Order: sequence, then C-alpha cells, then structure tokens
Amino acid sequence: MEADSQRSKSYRRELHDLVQRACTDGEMGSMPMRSLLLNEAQYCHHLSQNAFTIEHSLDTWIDNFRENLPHVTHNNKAGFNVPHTDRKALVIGAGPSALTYYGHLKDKGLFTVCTNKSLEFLIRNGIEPDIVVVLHSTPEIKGTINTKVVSDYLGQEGRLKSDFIIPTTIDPGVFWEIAHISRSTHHHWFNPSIPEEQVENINQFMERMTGLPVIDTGGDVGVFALLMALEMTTGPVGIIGLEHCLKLKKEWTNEQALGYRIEYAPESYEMLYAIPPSFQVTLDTMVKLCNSKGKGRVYNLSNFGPVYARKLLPYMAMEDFACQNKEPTNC
Amino acid sequence: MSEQRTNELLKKFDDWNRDVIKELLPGWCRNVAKNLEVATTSMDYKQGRAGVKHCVVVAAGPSLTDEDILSLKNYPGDIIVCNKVFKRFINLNVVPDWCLLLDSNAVSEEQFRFLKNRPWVPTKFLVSTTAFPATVEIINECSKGHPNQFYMFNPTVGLNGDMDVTTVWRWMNGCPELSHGGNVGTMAFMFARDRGYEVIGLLGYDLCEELNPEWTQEQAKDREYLYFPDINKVVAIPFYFLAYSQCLANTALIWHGNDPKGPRKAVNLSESPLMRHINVFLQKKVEEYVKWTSEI
Repeated sequence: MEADSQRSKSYRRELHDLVQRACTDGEMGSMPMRSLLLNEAQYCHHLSQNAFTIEHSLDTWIDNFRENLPHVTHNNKAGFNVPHTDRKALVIGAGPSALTYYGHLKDKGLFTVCTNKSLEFLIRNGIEPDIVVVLHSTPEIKGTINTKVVSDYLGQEGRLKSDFIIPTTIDPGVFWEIAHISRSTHHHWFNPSIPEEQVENINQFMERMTGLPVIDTGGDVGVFALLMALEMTTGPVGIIGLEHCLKLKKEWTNEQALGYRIEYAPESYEMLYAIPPSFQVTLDTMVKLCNSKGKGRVYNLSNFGPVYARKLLPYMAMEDFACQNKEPTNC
Repeated sequence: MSEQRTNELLKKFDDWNRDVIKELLPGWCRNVAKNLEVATTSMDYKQGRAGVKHCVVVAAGPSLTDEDILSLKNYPGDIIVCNKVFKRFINLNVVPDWCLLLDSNAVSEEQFRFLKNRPWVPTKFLVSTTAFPATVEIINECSKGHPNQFYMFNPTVGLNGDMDVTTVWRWMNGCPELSHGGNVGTMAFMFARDRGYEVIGLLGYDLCEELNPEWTQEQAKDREYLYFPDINKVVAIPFYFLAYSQCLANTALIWHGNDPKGPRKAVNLSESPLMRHINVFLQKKVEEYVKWTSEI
C-alpha cells in the first residue's frame, strides 16, 4: 500500500509538466487526465482567482458603491460597531448540512451568525440570528433574504433584530431586500478590500469616502461569516453548512460532473461528495484559518463533506456543542 | 494531438513504469533464460498479417459476461483474448483466434493447466518470453506438431540507457519486440494494430473499479473518482489505471487519427462507464458490433 502511494505521488510529479502543456493543448482526447487537469486548474485558479474576479467585477462594484453611498453615509447610524461577546458562536453557511433542524438551539444562548441563504433556515425554526453576513455584489442572491418564510415570520410591519454586515459594494436590489426586513440601526456597512496591486489606492478611497473600515473578506461569504464570528466572540465557534462541497446530483450533465473532484469516504457511511475547484481553494483557506486560531477554538458540526470525512477539524454534534456551554442555560 | 505529443506522453508513462520494472526485472530475466530454448524455436508474429479486416480484443475486466462471450460464437472476424480470459472462452465453446500472455507471474500456470487434459484447440498463442516458464511449457506442449500456432515476443522494457534489455533478449532468443503500455489489454490492442485490422473492438476493458466499502481511508484516497450523472454512477480509478487508460486512448488516437472518414475504427464494446465515456472510441454493444462488422 505504501509503495502504491509512493508510486502515485511519483506519477503525479512526473505528469506535472505534461498537464501544464495539456491545459493549452485542448485535445487531450480522453478523460483520465481530468483529475490532473483539475489539480493544475486549481493551482492556476488559486493564483488568478482574485485577479479574474476583480477584473470582471470592478465596474459592478464601483456602480454599486456609488448607488449605495447615500445609505452608507446618510442613514448609517450603526457604523461598523459590531457586537462583541464571550458566548459560544454558531456559524451557519449554505452548504448541504445547513438545511437541518435548529429548534433545539433556542434559548441555548448561542451567538448565531448566518449568511444570506441560511437566514431562512434559522427563521423557519423560530431563531433570529444575531448576525447576518452578506457579501455578494451581484443580483444572483436576490430572493434569498426576504423569502416567504421570513416575510411570514415578520408579518406586515415586523423587522428582524439581527445585525446585518453589509459590503458597500452590495447589489442595490439585494440591499433593498435587507432594508425591508431589518432596521437601519442594525446595518453595519464595511468596504470589502480589493488587492492594491489590482487597483491602486482603491481601498484608501473607499475608506475616506465612507469613513468605514476596509476588511479582507476572503472572497467567500461562508469564510467571511466565520471570520466575523472569530472577531466578535472569544468563545468556541461551531460551523455548519461550510463543508464546501456538493451532494452528487443526477441532474448534472456529465461535463458538469467531470468539472468536480469526487471524493469517497468508505469509513464514513460510504460518503460521496463533489468539490468544485473554487471550493477546494476556499476549503483550504478556511481550514488554515481555523487551525491558526488554536486548538478548541473552531469545531465542525457537520457530518458531511471533506472536513468531516478527512477529519480536517475536530467534529462535535451540534447538540453537544450547544450544550457544552461555558454557562449552560437549558441543557 | 500531434504524433510527437502523443509519443512524449507515452514516453512519460514508460518513465513512470521504470520503478515497477526495476523491481520485477530480475524475475523477468530469469524467465527469459529459462524460456530460451522454447523461444528460439517459436514463430515471429510479425511475419503474418490479418486475413480479415476486423477483430475483437477481449480483456479480463469484471464487466465481461458469459453472454458477451457467447455473442462472439459466430463472429466472422478474429477474436484475440488476453491471459485468463482464454479459459472462459474455451469453457463456453468459443474458440479465440489468438491468445496473448504477458503475465510473468506463477498464477498463469493455474490459468492454462486445463490445456493438458483437453483436445487440441486451434488458437494461436503469442507468449511473452518473460512469462512463467511452467506456463510456457504447457502452451508449447499443446501446440507441438501444429505449425504456426506458437509465437513468442520480447516485451518492451522502458529502461533508460545506451542499451535496453529487450535488445539483449532479442540477441539471445531472436524474438521480435512488442510494446505493451504496462498491461496486456493495451498490448493486445497494439498487437491488433500491428496485424493490420482496420476495425478493432475492445471488450472487457474496464480500467475502473466499483466502489468498495471495505477500502481503508488510505486506499480510498489513493484513487480518483468519476461521477456520471447520466447513469448516476461513481467509479474509482487507481492511479495505474489512469496511466493504462491514457496509454490505450492515446495509442488508439494516434492509430485512427480521429478521422471519422478514415477506415480505422477503435470501438469500445465494454460496459465500463469510463470506457463508455472516452471519446476516442466509438461505442457499440457486442451484438451490434458483430452485426455491423459482418456487413464490412
């Protein structure tokens, strides 16, 4: 087995330069190179993802920034005075495991941080999160915030008590949705940082114009929510829905499926999941971030995906995490 | 893809094989020495050309069924089988035209021992000079008195250096060299190509595995996985299968040149999800292929 593993490594090393050429050849003809191409694409992606995103999104960001500026400057009563606490935090992303039952977390005193898509999952269980983190600058997440579930929960005039972390580059339509369900005093605007080598002095300009901090978001709303939770609380942080993988779907085309890395974990109930290349980069970043915070700071509460199957972070069932509170409430 | 590019790829795979070769080379040399006398009197497969335009090459992948084999009973082209598949064919009363043996392991003796106790079969044997000597002896004995039935070759051994070991073996036994890409299935395809068939069907070529819940975490991590939503199936591919399939696909590609109007066709007949999705092969069912080639 060890010899096989060594050969595998040697094989990959040997093929590294071939794959680089294969990327430009375009006629590899057969699929077995797929995973190697993916690995290579992932490496290239890591280097160029930011540059690519920024190049293609900069106009949108600036347009959004201009449109949002009145709200940011005139109606901004909260500033970026986000809450700080020593409570345990629960960060909920929008991965497959996030769609679960949260009702038992009521009255457990957890500091809950969710993303735009997972807001509905909490509301459905009657939990108003402490923090809702939004990052997207494109309109694609429209409809994920003021959903029917949220709107029914709030009634005609109701507003959530949650604090919203909002980038100054947010799509105005998405902000309108947030404004409809929340209080402006709970809006915490910030400037998402843009690498200076891409656009010179842009962070400084945004900071000067808004009087708001510039924050490196990591480019992924889930990771940013985790980052915020780590900043806002000194207690342990549990994460769910941040597995950065997908469940296999029959609806995908073969071409789509071949674009994902499939992993198999026979030891975890024969678990199968797909990792798109961009998720792999974010996953690596997230795990590094969690490990850099020291042992016992971040727990994985999801029993699906690479973080669980490959034991990248310590696992704890959500109920156990909620009940092992420093100051137990209703456990 | 250019021929040069493909050759570069193949060379890289040969380089990768080097470690394995170095480990097995002493045993191969011992077998070549023990098979020397038989090899010097064997026939040269390169002297003959195929009398028909099409063939089916059959490897031993788990997807190969008895129904597949029986479908070939009245196949008018040549049937070329690899290693242990030969016994399955004979047991089902389907006589292959060629049987290829590359395996140098003692296990092959078990697979061919049945020949001792049964009537003569007209199958031609192409056997590696590195094959297990007791197996070579069995096959040679059953071919005695039947000219044009027993052929041997020296397998290409991709060692770097001024002198390659295959040349030395050729000096010793006079047998021709045959490339194999690391496995008998690819070698059988190369053999069929060299015989001059225009249409080559590939059956029992899986080059992937079913998921196995008994794998350890390490074993599972050492494989690549492909998901095919159209059949809702995930298959596992060990790293050496990646190399084999790449080599096979590139050999086929370079042979037919991806020219849809050209006469050369490589046709996958296997049910393997991987082979079903490699686009250098035409895809057909066995019965469909038999009917189609009968009309050629």
